[in-house]
Amino acid sequence: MNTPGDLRCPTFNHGDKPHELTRLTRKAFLVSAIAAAAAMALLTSASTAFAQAGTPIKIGSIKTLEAPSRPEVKTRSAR
Amino acid sequence: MAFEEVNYTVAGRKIEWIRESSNAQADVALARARKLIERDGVDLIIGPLSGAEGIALRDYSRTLKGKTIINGQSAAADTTMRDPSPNFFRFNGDGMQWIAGLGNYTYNTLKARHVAVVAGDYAFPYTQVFGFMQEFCKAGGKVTKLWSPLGTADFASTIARIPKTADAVPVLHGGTDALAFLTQYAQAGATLPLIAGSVTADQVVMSARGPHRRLLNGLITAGPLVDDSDNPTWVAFVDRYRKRFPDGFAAPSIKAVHYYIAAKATLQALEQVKGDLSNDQKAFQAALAKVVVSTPMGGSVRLDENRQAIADNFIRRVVERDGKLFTTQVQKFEAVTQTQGMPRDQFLALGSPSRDNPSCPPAN
Repeated sequence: MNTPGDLRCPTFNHGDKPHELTRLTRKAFLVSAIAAAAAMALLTSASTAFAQAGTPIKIGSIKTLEAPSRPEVKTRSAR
Repeated sequence: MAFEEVNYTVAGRKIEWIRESSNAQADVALARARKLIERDGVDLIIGPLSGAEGIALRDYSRTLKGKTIINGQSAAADTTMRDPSPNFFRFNGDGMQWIAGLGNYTYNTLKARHVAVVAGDYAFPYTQVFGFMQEFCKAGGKVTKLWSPLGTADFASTIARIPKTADAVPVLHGGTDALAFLTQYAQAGATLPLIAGSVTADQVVMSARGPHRRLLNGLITAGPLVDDSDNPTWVAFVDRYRKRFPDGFAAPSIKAVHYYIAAKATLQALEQVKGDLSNDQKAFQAALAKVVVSTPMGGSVRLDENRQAIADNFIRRVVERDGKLFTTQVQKFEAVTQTQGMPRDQFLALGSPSRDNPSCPPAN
């Protein structure tokens, strides 16, 4: 009788050895899960970069104005 | 100039630049920074300029997630020396680094044994005075300190308190304070020789008209740039500056140079991470910490573990050429660290620069 998590074949008598196909399936599942996660991370990163690429980088600056500094520095001059 | 050189584009992303001004007061700089971050939504800030402002923005940066502050020019030591913030970067030396060598030069070459230091009563001059005194007092010199609040217009009482026994007067004021002091010193007919601080012998002061120019000509000073350097990189930079700002100074001011370096470092790090500021700017900040940026002076700046610049410094002399004042190189000190080459714990044990620290007064 198989119990949950028991990888022995329920149909064929292989003794205590897990069924080879089941083992391979599990390995394949793990590999594909890891690959999917990596692909998702790459996709997220790429989509973040793509989303950022369309938006400007906003840089603020703060400089002290004191005579005899130049008067042409405006309070807010966005570009 | 740095943004114009890349046509306001880095790693394929446009740069939107929002400029704010302050008045050397910490609360004003903080209000401007909050406005930039909270209302304008900037990704990063380049600034501020003055000592106390830098400490205020260092503290503010700690409250920010996913934002970066790159210092403009503020140069108080404690901004990065004590309790540094992980997202605050400074690509200029502090006031102590800018004055490296001047205390020894004053004692050993100028042969002064007692000086009366005249300086502003706030964080940046504390740092410059600390740096000067570390060398001068260690060599055996004695120092009388005369502090004035930032923005002082009348220096009559300060000038009257300069001891007649002093051999020289290091003036560590900048901007309008330097102009006011030097003008009144000249008008008072005072004769003790002067020595100039890093922002005293700067184009902001040297380019202004007035009797102070006569006093400045020939003075010894220390600072991170030399106006009349023949280094090809500097010559080319001055040429570009003069073309871009035909009504500007004879050479770029210390402020212009440091904001330029900060902007160049920022662009370099943005290029390295391909303009990616996601993940709370972690990759950008890691890149910024490792940037080695070439300076207009032909050298380079890199950061220490506190994200504080390691940079060259110079002993300079003020000279007049074609009716204009410039600084010329006397000595060069390469890769000056914030701890003056001392182990960090040993340096921290000296205490924070302040009105009273250090102290080596003359005997009465």
